[in-house]
Formats: sequence, C-alpha cells, structure tokens
Amino acid sequence: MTDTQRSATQVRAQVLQQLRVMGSPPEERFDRIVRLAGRLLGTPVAMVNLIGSDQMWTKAAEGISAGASDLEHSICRHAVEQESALEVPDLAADPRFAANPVVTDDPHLRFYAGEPLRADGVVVGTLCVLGPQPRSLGSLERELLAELASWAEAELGNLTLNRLVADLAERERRLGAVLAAVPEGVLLVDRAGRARTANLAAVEAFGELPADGTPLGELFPGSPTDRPPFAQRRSGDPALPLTPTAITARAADGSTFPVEVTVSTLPGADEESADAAAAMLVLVRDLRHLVRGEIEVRRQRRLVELVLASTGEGVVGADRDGVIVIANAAARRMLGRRESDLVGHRLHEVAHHSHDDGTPFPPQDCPVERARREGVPLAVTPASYWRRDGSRVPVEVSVAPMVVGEEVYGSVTTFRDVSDREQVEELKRQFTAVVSHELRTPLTSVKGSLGLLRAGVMGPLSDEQQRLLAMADDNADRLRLLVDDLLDLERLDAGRMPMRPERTDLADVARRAAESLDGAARAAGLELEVSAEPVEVLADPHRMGQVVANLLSNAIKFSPPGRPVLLRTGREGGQAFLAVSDRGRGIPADQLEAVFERFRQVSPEDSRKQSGSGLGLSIVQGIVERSGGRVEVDSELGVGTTFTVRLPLAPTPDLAVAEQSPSPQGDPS
Amino acid sequence: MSRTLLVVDDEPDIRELARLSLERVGGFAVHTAGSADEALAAVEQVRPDLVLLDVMMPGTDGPALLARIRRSPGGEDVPVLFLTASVQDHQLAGLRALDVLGVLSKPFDPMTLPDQVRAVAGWAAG
Repeated sequence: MTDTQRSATQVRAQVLQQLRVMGSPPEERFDRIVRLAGRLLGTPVAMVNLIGSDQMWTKAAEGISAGASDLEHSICRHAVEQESALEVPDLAADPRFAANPVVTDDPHLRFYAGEPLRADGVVVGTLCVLGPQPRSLGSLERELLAELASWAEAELGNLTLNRLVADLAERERRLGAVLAAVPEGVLLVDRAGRARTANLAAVEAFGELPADGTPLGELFPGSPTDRPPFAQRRSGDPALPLTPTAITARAADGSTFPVEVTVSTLPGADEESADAAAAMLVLVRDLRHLVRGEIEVRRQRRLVELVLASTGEGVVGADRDGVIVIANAAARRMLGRRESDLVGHRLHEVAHHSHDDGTPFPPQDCPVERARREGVPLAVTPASYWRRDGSRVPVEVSVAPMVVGEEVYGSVTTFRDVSDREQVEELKRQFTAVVSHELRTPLTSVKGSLGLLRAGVMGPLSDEQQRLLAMADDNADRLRLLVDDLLDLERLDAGRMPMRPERTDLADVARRAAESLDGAARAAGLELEVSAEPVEVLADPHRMGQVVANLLSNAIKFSPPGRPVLLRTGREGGQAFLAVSDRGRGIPADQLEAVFERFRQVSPEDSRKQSGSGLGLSIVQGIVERSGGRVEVDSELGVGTTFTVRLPLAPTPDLAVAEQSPSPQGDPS
Repeated sequence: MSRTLLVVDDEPDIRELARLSLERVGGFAVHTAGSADEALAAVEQVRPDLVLLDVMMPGTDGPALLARIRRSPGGEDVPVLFLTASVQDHQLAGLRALDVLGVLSKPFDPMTLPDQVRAVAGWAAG
C-alpha cells in the first residue's frame, strides 16, 4: 500500500464514519437500486458495497448475501482504489481475480462491472453487478449503471441529511428540555425589542407570547429598552459584565412583581440580521419566592429576638472562639453596654476582667472561660461582672456549650443580677449582729445579778434558793454560748472572722485547751488523755484553741462517765492532724455528714439532755476550712466517735521566719 | 480608807450591777453616771480615784468622753479604765493606745470585777 493509498484509505474511512453506514442494516432505498440494476443489466447479482479500512460492507445485495466480508477478496476495492468504473469481462481470465472464491467456488461468477460511489467527493464504494457468464456491457448498459450509481450516491447524501436533521431535532429537544427545566424565565428578544420566544418559566410568569412577540416595555414597565439594563446590551458591547438588575415585571394578568434580569447579546445579532432574529437573551429571575423566604427568615429572627429580649436573664451567645455573636437586651442593660460593645468581643474581657479587689482576672484563670473552652456546663455564684461605668454587678453565671451531634459550635452564657440577694444577705448579717448584741447586753445583767446572788453577796440563801439560782445561771450561760456561737458563725459566713495565721504548734494548742476543759471533764466524771506530738501549722492559735475546745466539750458531752476522751496531735500523710475521740454511743453512718449542720443533734432528746448551741461543729468546720484544712468524722455505734482536723504543715522554718508575727496580746474574750 | 470609783455607762442595769459588785464585793465607794454631762459633773464634784468608762455609748462615746474628762477640772490626772464588749484585736489595741490604765472586757463577772480593777490600778487588796 502506497502512502497515497494509505491517506486515501484514511480519508475514505473518515467519510464513511460520518455517514455512519458501515455495519448499518439493509434499507429499502438501496435495496430497490440493486434490484433495478440486476433486472436492467440482466445480472443475477447486484450490490452496493462500501470499502472501509479493514472490511467491505455490503449495504444492499441482490442474488447474494449482504453484510461484512474480507477486503482481500473484494473486487470492488479495485474500482474504489482506481476511483473509476471497472469492468472485468471474464474474472477467470484476469490474474487479479482468477483465484477469487466467488469465481472458483459457488456461485462461480465470471463477469463484474462496478461504478464508483462518491460521498463528499470521496469514492467510498461501488454499485456493482456480477454474472456467471463472461460478457461486456453495452454503452446503454454502462449509462444505466452510472445513472443508478448517481441515484445511490444521492441516497448516501440523503442519509447524511437525514442524520443531520435527526441530530438537530435531538439537540433542539434537549435544549428545549433544559430551557423548560431552568427555574429562570428565558426570553429571546428580537432587534425590534419584542420578546419572541419564552421558556416554560417565562410563560408561567408572563403568559403565552403572541406569534409576533410582545414588546419588552409591556413585560417590564418602567424599564424602557433605550435604558439600562436593556440599552447597554443593545449597544452590543461584549465586554460589559452580565450583572443581574432588579426591576419590575408585569404578568399577563396585569399584576406586577419584582424580578432580577440578566441581559446578554446573542452572537451574530449584528446590524445585518433580520428583525425577527434573536438579538438579546433575557434571563428573568422571579424574586417573589425569595422575598417570601426572606420575610419568613426575618419573622423567625424577630421571634427569637423577642424571646431573648423578654428574658430577664442576660443571654450571650458566643462562637467557638468565645467571640460574642448575640447579646440580649437584659445582658446589655445589666452590663450597661451597647450591642457594639459586646458583639465581636469576648465576655470575659468586656465584663469579667477584674476580681472584686480590682486586680486583673486573666481569662485562663476563669472557671467559666475554662468550661466554655472545654464545652462543659458550669454554674458559678456569686461572680462579679463589671459595667461600662466601672461599677460592679453581682451575678449568678452559667455557661453551656451549643452542641450539634458531637461538634461544639459555641456557648451560651446566661447570668442574672443577684444584687437583691446580696442586699438580703447583708440585711441578714446586720440583723444577726444587732440581735446578738442586743441579746448580750441583757444577758450580762442577768449573769451578773445571778452571780452576785449565788455568791451570797446580798445575804444568805436557802438550799432551794441556791438550786433555783444555779439553774437560772446555767441557762444564762447556755444562752450566752448560743449568742457567741451565732456571732462567730455570722462572721465566718461573711468572711469577717479575724484570722491571724502564724506558726502554731497544735500540741501546745491541744494541751492548753485540755487544761481549760479539765474542770468540765472532771465534772462529767471522765478524764482527758492527751497524747500530743509537736506539729506546726500556719493557723490562728486563738481560733485553733476554739476548735479544740469545741471538739473537746462535744466529746465530753457524749462520753459516759468513766470513759476517757482522747486528744491526739501529730503528722500523718504529709499533713498535721488533731484528733478527738470519745467512747460515746457513736453516730449512725447516715447521719455522719449531718453533724456539721447547724442546730443539728443526732437524736431529738440530745438537745434537751446535752446542753449546747448545736453550732459548735459548724464553727469548727468553718474555722478549719478558712485555715485551709478539713474536718473528718469517723464513728462506730457503741464504740465511739473520732473527729480529725487535718491541716497543711507549716513551711520549713527557714522560709517562714520572716512571716512570723507576734502573738496576740492577751485573751480578748 | 475606801477608794471612790465612778462608773459611767448608759445602761442602768449594768450601772447597778457594777455598783453592787464594786460596793458589796469590792468594798469601794461607788458613784455612777448615765451620760457624758453627768460623768463630767461627777468627776468635778466627787473627784473619784478611778473612772470605769463604757466605750459604746450613744452621743458621746468612751474615747470622746475621755478627751472631755481630761480637759475638765479634776479630770486631768484621774485614772480611767475602759469597759468594752469588743473582742476585735485592733479595736482593743486602739483603746489601749489612749491615755488609760487599761481595758476590761464586758460582760464582766461581778464576783471578780473588783479584783480586776485593783490589779490594773495597782491597789493592794482590801
């Protein structure tokens, strides 16, 4: 095969591919040609053959089967390659074809005449006739074959045309489907400014357009075609950006509605085009749905804002980074801030930046901040927020994460002003202080008078008089103890109990307390056993004495006569301890916690039988906790109860020398 | 020789109690005053050997009355003892810093008050 042949083969294959005829089934338009050719030329065999690059395709056949066959034995191939008619009077006599199976075997053909068929000017096949006898065609017969070949060529041409039409129809169908499916209205506008074609969405919006179209001015009243957005498109400047423009449209029923139009000039819509040709494409977006959606969104938003605004608590929503995105009216009012002071900032920095004493409160130290960062709910009360004017507002704060699935999207901080509560607390404190003082004064007179009488200063007394005076005196003592304890508790609660921590040996404290209560112990018929190992803590020795005295008098009250009360001090587990054990009847396990509650005694008759305010252990707990320690209670029914105070050890003496303060002068009580 | 004391307190019960204690138990001669004016008059007329002065009094309190006593005739050098219900260390220290012999705490035990007074004043028993 020469290069020329090779390239001719490629060109032919290309044309055949465009015809899409190779491998296509028989068609009547070609069948009738081969039937006619066989009849007119007196040959039993006639075919339309197409010569592809690797096979021959018999598109139509008379007297022989149609379909594919090898190029090797194709006689037509020769006609195609020489691009002219080929007539072989005796195939058996031609060395090119003598061994061809159609010659040597059934159907034993001897005559061939083929006329080339052209498509797009390229020879792609033949119309050929074959017979079993050697012969030749007369000139009329050759003319007939050529005419029939022209007919076949015309049919090949029709084939192309039909395909093109079918393709166009399919393309239009698809385009139509796309246009119909587009939610935007599409209008094709001619040079005269009339909308000629509308897609489904446009028809729904504007109604069917009449055959001669509708002027744009009627569809978009108020937007003349010589003004934007239509004018700039008509100027045909392709560099102008396609920007949607909001204008008003008028529907078929005369109502108007908001739309957004995007106008583009169609290619080829130049001055020479006919008036009817499409000049502009107008994309129309109906904004009514959008408007409705927006109204709904705004309504929902107003509702949420109304709910937040009607809440008395401050509500602040922050994003994942703690930056405020929303702050309700109560939050703004409580903090004396405008929305712009809060949104975009961090709540801690705006309102929680300082401790009560004015020292900075770094966000990393803030439990609320930590909970927010870690996505853990937390409530803190009381906390101090700061207003814009620098004034303090006591608040109760809680923070909760906003969680969707497992993702933390931010946090909601709510807080309420607890000023009222603080005022109530203050009133309560004042009340306690005043009442306590007012109780003390008359008690002083009662005590003093009874003391003078009992001492016989006012004259001798009978035994009965003595007993009655003793009873009155004891109960006056009890009242005074109660008042003193109430005052102590009030000061502990308010954080106003004076505490003067210094290096204190718990063993000293224990021994002194034991000495002072020795009389009471002996009166109760029991002994105090002291096993004090020196151990130093940083605590107020006077208050520690009060702690030991309270624990001892408690133990003395509950120990039966003859059983010792044990008082021990020492160190254990890196801490100092002071333990007071009695051999009393013990405390049921479910009431162990309750012993530290105020006015609490384990059984109701205790309060009558055992004198005491019921506040002693609360005071012990308050003082120990204020000193950085804790109180534990262990008890076994029928065996006894042990109260253990645990306190941190004092730092090593080297470090503590400078901190040592002089001991208080005298005993103020 | 019986010493003469002046007890100044706005509470009549306390005045009476202190008087009974100091007279009957302590054997002192006792005058009492319920107000600043009474106290100043008594200091001038009675010329007491010692004044027991309540700290918390309406109107003129203990320290203010002390200042007036010091400026009044007969009061320049009279020994004064404060009686106070306060237990606050800093308040006690503040009172001790004034021109007084000492500070006694309220409530007082009427059986021991005379001895306390004698101890602070440096007087022998009896």
